[in-house]
Amino acid sequence: MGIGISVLALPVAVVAFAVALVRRRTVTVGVNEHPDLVRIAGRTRAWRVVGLLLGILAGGLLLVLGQRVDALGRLTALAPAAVGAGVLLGTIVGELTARPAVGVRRAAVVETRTVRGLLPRTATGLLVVAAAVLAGTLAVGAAWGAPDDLGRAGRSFTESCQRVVDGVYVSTGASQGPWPGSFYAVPLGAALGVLAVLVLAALLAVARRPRPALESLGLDSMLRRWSVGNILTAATFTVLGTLGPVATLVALTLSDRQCPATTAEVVVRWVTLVAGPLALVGGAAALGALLVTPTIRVDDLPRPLPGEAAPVGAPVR
Amino acid sequence: MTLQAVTVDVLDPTPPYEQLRRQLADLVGSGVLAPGDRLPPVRQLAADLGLAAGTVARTYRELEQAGYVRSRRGGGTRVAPAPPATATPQQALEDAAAAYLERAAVLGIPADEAVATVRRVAGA
Repeated sequence: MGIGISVLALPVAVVAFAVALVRRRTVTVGVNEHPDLVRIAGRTRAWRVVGLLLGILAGGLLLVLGQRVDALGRLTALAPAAVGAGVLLGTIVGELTARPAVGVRRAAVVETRTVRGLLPRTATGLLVVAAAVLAGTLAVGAAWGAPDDLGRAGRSFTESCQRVVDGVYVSTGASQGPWPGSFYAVPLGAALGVLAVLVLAALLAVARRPRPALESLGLDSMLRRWSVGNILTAATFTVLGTLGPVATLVALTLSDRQCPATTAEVVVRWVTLVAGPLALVGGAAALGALLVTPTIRVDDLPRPLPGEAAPVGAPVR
Repeated sequence: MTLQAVTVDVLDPTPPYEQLRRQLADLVGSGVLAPGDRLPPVRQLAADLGLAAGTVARTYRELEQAGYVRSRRGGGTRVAPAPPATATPQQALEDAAAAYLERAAVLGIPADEAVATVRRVAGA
């Protein structure tokens, strides 16, 4: 049932990915407007794209070659984290190296820029909820994990109980794997911990980037919001990209039981049954959003003033 | 909320820390920055102005010694509960005008020409 829902979620995930791709945000400025900010935007975007490409390359290598190095999938499971880390590292480098030109007369706004002030509520809330579900799933997986047939701790789910068969108590039990116990949860937890540090570093880099000229304040604030949005999207992709397979695996294992399930197991089963497909769809949308970072486009020609005869076509009224 | 700005002219003979101190003292003394308002972190203001962090730190230290602000470790720098209300906006403007005329004199420009320059710039 779990895998069925996940397969059914695939077309929805493709649609979510396509919708995210077409929702590209672009702001157009005049050819001579906000030159400093346009330069900063170009630099931060270029580094973010470089980070994304390197992240996708690293993630792809982990998916393809990770299986050869570790056939049990521990490296493969880190592919979403590699993509997220690439974007975050690119963002950090871009924000740290983008500096507005300083002239003889310099101005600064008397304001306190904080990370908290830059965080959008909805996207942050979504990330926190997703991270909490992932942490909970990994914690449950680690708590309920057992050694597999080769003695690798936390790699299978073992159950045993007594059932009445033809009026006789019969001891029965089974061991199923792979199970996202400590065998997988420890490397995943470590990778997500590193990612959390990168998220914090990237947010601080965005908040601390110096302001350009005062006339570009509005655009600069928008650029920071875009950067923060990208950081949260990269983190959300990593969390959901990891949660999807983990939750599906838990739901699959708990759906195929020989013993009666406890209340906790029923709750975990239903939560993961819902969380797995949702994470798949959300992860696809997040990946689409990462591929089309917002951009500032510079208009080639100066804009005609209202009432001024336009060089081509009808005058603008 | 109107954002207040401070400016630093690196060609001005007045040291940058003093230019900054005057402007922030004016903003606090005239009530534009209210008691409890937080000033930008030293590193942030220094980065925005392209100055060394030590320059801004010196400004804050002098403002603190004069009773305009209070600094707390981990809590940033905030406007003091009862800062000296030395400057009204009019007084601050007159001080700025006097400083401008002083600088014009250093450059060998007479006062009437300096005033005409202000009119021309304001009209531009």
